[in-house]
Amino acid sequence: MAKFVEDINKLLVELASKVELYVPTTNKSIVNFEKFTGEPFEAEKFKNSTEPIKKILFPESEILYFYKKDENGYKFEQVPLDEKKKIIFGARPCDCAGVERLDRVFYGDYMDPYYDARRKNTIIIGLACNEPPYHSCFCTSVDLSPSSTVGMDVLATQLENGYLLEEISDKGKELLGSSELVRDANEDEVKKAKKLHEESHKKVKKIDIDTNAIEFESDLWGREGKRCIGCGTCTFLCPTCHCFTIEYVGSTRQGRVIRSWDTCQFQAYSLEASGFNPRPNKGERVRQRLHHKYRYFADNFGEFQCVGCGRCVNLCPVNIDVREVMVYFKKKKQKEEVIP
Amino acid sequence: MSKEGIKSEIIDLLKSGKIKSFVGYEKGTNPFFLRPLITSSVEEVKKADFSVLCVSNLVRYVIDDFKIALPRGKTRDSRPIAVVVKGCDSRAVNVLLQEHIIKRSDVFLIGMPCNGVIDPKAAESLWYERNKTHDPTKIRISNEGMFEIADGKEEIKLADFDEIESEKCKVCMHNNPVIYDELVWDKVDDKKVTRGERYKKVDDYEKLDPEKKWLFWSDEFSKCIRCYGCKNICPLCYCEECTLAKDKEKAVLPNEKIWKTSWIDKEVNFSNNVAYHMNRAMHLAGRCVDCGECERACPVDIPLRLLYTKVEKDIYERYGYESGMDSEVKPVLATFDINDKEEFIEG
Repeated sequence: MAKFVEDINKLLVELASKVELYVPTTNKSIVNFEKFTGEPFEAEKFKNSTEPIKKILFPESEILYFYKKDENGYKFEQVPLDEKKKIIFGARPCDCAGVERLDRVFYGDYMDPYYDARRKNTIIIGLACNEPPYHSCFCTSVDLSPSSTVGMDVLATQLENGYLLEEISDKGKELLGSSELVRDANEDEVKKAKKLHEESHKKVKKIDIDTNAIEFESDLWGREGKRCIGCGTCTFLCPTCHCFTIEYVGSTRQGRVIRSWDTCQFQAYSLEASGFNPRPNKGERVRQRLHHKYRYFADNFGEFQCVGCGRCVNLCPVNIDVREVMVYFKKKKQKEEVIP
Repeated sequence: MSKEGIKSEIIDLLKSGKIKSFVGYEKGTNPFFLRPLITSSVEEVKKADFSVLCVSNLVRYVIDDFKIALPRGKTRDSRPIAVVVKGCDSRAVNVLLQEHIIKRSDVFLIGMPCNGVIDPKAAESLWYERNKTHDPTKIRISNEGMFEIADGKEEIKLADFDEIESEKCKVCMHNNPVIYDELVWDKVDDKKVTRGERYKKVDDYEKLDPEKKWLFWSDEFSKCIRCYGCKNICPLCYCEECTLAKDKEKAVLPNEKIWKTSWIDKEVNFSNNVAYHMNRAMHLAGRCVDCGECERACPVDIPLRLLYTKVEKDIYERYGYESGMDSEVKPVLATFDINDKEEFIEG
């Protein structure tokens, strides 16, 4: 049963009074998810945030534990887990799907307690894209859509007179049930939202991604690698990239152990203790990124590790475009199939 | 010379083996800038283009060529690389020559006199604001402005060139390459920007009181995600091992080695971010040529150019030196003159 709220900002104020609420906030030229300050949310101006909501669940740096040495040896002090109740409002469907991909990794063979503490205390209210926000959007190519509900607890859709709120999970149901500002939606509103979803879906440009067509030994990697500058923009701002490195900060006597984002695009990422680097040049690193996204992850989890948000395409300073690479391989495979 | 003329010359040079590769611009999937084209194939050189969308500083790729890891037994091909340079880019070449990082024979410079390139980010946001179809294939950008190609051949003007011109170009004082082997087209007239105009933003910034300055930069630096885009795109950040990034050393144990190889940790926090950006600014003093690539590469829009222009202004006022104008003079901070201002020592 879908719900409806006339004034979203009243609801946000109500939510913010109970828990930590994150909403898209404009800071000069960029938009990020920050704590709600009471400033009204304007859906018309919001496209998508520069940094995905991944940052709230998996911050760029976090302290794991402290260590100290005395006469009796090392002592370790655990950092209290972040178990504050959080609500994220306004995350785009692609970013929410990104959280679902992160879940697969952080709840995989080993449960990550730091991630788990944040994740289980977070409710995500997604916001459907009534219009694909960027020309680089390609969510429909990775089996998602501008209104997909993967990874969300509630899906909000902006209509003329308010927001339609669809309950996706039990957490979301509970949240909406507790507010008096929310009423049951009527059939007309549900229909309108559905129509918007369908129209928006059609507007996203679709490309064909064929996992099996992506080659390992190909000249393309060398070409793309030559152009790549080896920065971490594509991976750090990816909603699904989850690599991290663990480092000791301090001296041998005392200090802290931190976990920070790391990226396969950096040279030191794959550098071995012997000094040998299996991925010495940028071409191999670009290959690793795309193979992980569209092959290895698909082999392990049956899904792409890409949600089609287009950040890596749009923000790359030298225009390395995953869509172009995927189309190249698909076309190449088709040609080979015709002429065996 | 013309566009086609220069391309056929490059093709001849490639065929005769006088140059090993060509670094230029080609049309990519982003309609707001031409992306770098690095190739040694004749077919690909034909794709090269020269326009107001040539925003990248390609000198970075000359440095990158020295950094490519080769299989055992193979040595680097030392033939020159043909690279397209605008005014600012050519000054970066001069700095590299001054610092003996490259030799003149390592590069074949194709100068591109330029009246300013566009700011892809500004153009993109204006396009989203003013256009209706959201079809990136229907954009045409020239030195007259940004146009949308409507049905038929009709064009709708979306923005004037002034609106989409890059900030760095509005205050550029050297529109023509200062060092080159060949020019794509005739030299253009310099824009006649005065020093006062050039440093206006810095002057405004200097008028702020220290607390406000600190607040301004705290806000900006706390956004940094340390992707190292600014460092990796910079033609003058050529160090094999950066003291501000753990490029080569992946020391994770708390021993002394960490402190020797890197001045800051991987931890992304405000203190490390400030250390990173301040160090980088100091390392670019008297060297930065204001090609603006750092600011363009920054995904979180930190106004890095303001920082580096401030340093540039200080150097200019102190020593009357402008970076990258002459490959023969010594770098300013590597020289000593008895008349150098040193009032900071007094009192």
